[in-house]
Amino acid sequence: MIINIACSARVGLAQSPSNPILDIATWQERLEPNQVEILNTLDELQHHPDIIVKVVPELSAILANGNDATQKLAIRCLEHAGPLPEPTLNLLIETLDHREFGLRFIASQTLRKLGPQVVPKLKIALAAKSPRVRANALVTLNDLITIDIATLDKLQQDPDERVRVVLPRIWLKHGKVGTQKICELTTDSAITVAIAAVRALQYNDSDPEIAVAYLRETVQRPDTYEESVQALTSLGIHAKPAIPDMLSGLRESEIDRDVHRGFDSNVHKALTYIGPARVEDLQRLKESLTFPHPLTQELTANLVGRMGPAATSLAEDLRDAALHNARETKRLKEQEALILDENRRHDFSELNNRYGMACEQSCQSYWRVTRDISKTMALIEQVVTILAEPMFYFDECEFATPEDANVLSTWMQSDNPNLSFTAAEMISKFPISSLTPNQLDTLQNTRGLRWKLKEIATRKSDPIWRAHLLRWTEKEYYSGRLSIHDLADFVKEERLSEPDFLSILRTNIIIGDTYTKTSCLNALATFSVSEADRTEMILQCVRENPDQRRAALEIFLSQEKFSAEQIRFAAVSLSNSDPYTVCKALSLLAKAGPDSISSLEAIKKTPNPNQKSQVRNFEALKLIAICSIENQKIEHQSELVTIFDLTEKEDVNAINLLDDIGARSEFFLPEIERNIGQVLYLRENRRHYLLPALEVLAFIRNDRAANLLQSFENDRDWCVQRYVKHLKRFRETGEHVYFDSEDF
Amino acid sequence: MQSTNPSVPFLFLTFAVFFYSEGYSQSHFHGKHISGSVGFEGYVWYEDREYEYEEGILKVPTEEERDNIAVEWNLPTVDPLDRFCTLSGTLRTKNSKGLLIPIYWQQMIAVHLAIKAGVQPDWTRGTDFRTAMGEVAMVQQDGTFEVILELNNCKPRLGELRELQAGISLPQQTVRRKGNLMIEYRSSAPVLDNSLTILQIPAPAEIPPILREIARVSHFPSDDAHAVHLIQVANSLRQLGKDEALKALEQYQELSMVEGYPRQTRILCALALSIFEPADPEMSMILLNGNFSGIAERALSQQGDVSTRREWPRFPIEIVDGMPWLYSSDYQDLLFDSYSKDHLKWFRQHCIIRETPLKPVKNPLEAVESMLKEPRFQQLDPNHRRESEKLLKRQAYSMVRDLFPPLPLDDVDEPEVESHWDNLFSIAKSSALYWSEDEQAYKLKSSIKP
Repeated sequence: MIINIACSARVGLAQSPSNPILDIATWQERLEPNQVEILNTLDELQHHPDIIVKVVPELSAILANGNDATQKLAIRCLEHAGPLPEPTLNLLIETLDHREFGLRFIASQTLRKLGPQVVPKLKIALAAKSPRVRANALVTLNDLITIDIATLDKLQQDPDERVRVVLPRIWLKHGKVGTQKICELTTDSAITVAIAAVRALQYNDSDPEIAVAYLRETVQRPDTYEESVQALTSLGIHAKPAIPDMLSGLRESEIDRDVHRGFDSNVHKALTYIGPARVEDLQRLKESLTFPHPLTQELTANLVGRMGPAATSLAEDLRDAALHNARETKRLKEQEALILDENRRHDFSELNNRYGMACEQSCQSYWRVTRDISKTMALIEQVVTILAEPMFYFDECEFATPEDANVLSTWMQSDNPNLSFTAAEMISKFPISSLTPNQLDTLQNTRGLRWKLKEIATRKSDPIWRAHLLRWTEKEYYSGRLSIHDLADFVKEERLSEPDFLSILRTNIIIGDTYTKTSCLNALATFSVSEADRTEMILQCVRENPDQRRAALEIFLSQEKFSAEQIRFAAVSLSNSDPYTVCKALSLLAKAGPDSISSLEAIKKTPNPNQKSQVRNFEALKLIAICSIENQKIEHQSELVTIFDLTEKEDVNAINLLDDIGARSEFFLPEIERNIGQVLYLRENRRHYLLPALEVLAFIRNDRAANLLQSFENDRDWCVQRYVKHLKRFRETGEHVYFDSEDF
Repeated sequence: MQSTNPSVPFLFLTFAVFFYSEGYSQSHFHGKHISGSVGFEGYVWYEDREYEYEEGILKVPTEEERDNIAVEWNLPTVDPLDRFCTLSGTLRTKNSKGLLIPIYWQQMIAVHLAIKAGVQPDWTRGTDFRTAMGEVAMVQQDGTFEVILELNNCKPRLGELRELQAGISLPQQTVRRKGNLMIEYRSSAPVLDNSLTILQIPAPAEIPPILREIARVSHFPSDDAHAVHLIQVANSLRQLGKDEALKALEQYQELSMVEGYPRQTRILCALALSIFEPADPEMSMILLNGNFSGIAERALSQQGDVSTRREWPRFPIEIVDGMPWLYSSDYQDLLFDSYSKDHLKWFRQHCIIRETPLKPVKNPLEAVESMLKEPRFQQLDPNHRRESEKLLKRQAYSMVRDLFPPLPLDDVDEPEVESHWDNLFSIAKSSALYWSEDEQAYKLKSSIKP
């Protein structure tokens, strides 16, 4: 229908050819309210070019006279029209000069889709008066054909930056010639063009040397610094000659990013990626070591360190830098303490940290270039004395030798705790087996180093360190510095093996104090130990400590099935004087069902341990247990009431237990159902039985139970109504919803 | 373009009162804030607060003490953009020897500042929106107080004598059940005679006029800072050229990085996106990142994707028919807040200033009608579409509201443009609206047929 409207409008247009402008206006007036909708529909008909081609004249009219919305849609429709008449093509080219760049972009996309038919027009448009047309024609044409070098050369002289700015990526297609041209554009007077050229250079792989030569210039200019660093990073090892330039040009923005925003600057990443600097650049790097900002010093020190002994000539400079930065850190720290403004203090501390990092990096690099641990430790001693604190940040020392470890182990026994701490930190970065077990044990006794060594040991996968950790753990545990919880955490964090942990548990479950024993039992409850092991250990614990009986029963209750030994244990527990222990035992036996038949007599004879105790429903629990074991029907209403009473008051396990019984013994259900009906009707005044009763009903899968449940849907109590609704959902979907008792 | 509807400044002021008093009283007040409400009735504003009462710190002054209160005003200050005026002073009372000493208890006050310079309105029966703006404050135990008032809606024009009457009134304080203290501010409470004074608001700092113009539209989009205002400022900026325009935006950013300019980035983003376009026709102008919904999600999910860039080329602003529009999103504040100095740098490095000034080519209501029928809006989920529709229609109406008959008074709270849209649209179509380039505003050729 919409097409009909469009076409009929076209007919109307054709009938009055005398005044086309007026006609277009008439057409638009007639269609205006629906114009956008019609265009939308046409756009959706993109797979029917035969239809769209019929309305090309109308689309052209809109393109010439429409508003932004309709023009945009018309351009999109023309995309599907196939070959277009020349006037329409001209209009599309004209749209490349639209005042809004969004529309220019859409027009350019459409021209691209129209394919080769637009190439001659675009070639002409390259010489158009409007720079917008020239620039858009250029990018469009570039997608359709390879533009010849002569044309591009001419465009390189274009007075408008919009044309020049697209040239770098077009030149990329032209190999070495193109690279040279891009490089020329890096010095363009327009910043947009220079940046586009620098960005293009990172994709250039035909002549990286010349690209790097130009990037060494641009990286010195503030406007193009960041893009140049990125481009150099892409050029990888080819960019080595530019490293000193990158460092000397380090901009505030980079420092800001690295120092204040907490993530690595681009130059930081670039240096990591490009690799060690060249030996011939050492002299320039030496200058960077004295640059005012600590970030430059830190990065330079890192770079020099990575060069290893090749950079020995800079050892003294690194030493000076380390001492200078240590003194600066100290000075700033003193100043920082005087600053009251929290924000300022924070900024200050950031800078201060940076000096600290530069200092540590210099020390580390000093070691890397000299490979002399004694000299390095002498320097570190000076630094640590100035700083009055240890040093933390060391990279992996893959070059360190066992002799170095020997030297360090001596330093680790230093009287200065900061120094021994730093030495320990350094040794932790050594390759494996740098220290012998004996050395470790000796160091273990060094003042202040015990925890440090433990901390290092937990980080290392080296067998010597692992063994040390175990020895340490046992020692610490028996000296009372660790609890079972700590050990359990160690196991979770894989710092302690499970067999080791279990052996500790096994010992402590017998000899530990009450608290330790309870902890051991709790640990056993949560640990994935084999069932037999667990039972054995628990029973062993209880044999030695009868007061742990309840805890043991609780652990067993978390299981689904029980071993004969566990059932026997529960039966014996029935004679316990603690009512809660007896309740747990009953629960376990009830849950075990017919398996605990041997305990039936014991259950029947179990006296109520304390009538006045809080366990008010002891009898009910007993009844449940008996019924569960004998698979027996509950015949008396009073007994049911007792169970409901239990479920109402014994809030922890009773409902679950009842559910358990209901679910296990199908033949219980009709009886419960019949009795529930009576309870509900006869004892209207005892509403508090209702909720547990209803819950039991939800388990009974027959119509009568359903009807009974249904009859409570409109109960006068809204809590009951809500509950019934939940239960019905449970019946239908089996989706068990946890009801918070506070909800009701 | 002065607002003809008196409700808007009032509404704004009410929120300003709420905003600033929260900031000040909460930080210095010893009692624990329990509840509060704020609003206005007619031209009178009110604010109620309930605090846990702490004996010895707060007190309810006696009649005599109230009568003896006098104010020693400090010289007011204004921020460089001349938008916020800080009034401060010391509350004093007479001691037994008749000497004026700073009050020795924590006292709540409302500070009033006249809207018009050179007049001395009668405030014996309190103030209202027609004569004064107000702000609540907590006087500290040393008797000092400080309030910040936004001059945006009612500041004297440049060149006018900036002498404004000021005074304070005391709220009603009652100790309630459970010992809570109820503080009821009413702008209708009489202003204390002893506090009345004429304050000389200092002349604003010498800053380039363009910065003041930017500050004027910093509430964009709102009834007081709509697209017409934005076009005016954007065109002024455009005339300065790329470097100067960016310099102005950076300067504004520096100056507005103080308390009280919570949405300073919004206007920077709106202006930069309006006056710049990428030098490279292929470059995307969408600079934001994050997890958003609605249009933002579509625009940001595939920033490099051609189809997205076709749809939302400079999200969250777009120039349609020569007018800048802001698309709606729940997260618009978040979006704008993520604009930063780095973005201005991006404009410097990758953009050129637009070749032609912004110039609306049709009436804004019609532009919105067409825009909303576009597939990109139709494809949004209904909630987001409705939200965008509401915001765009509101922006369109704000641009021409001074030329239209005011909306019915029952919409005074927040005029529901949508419910009157059809009517407004037909008025807009029938009235010959045109854009006057000289005045940089919409004008009417013929009278409106209601």
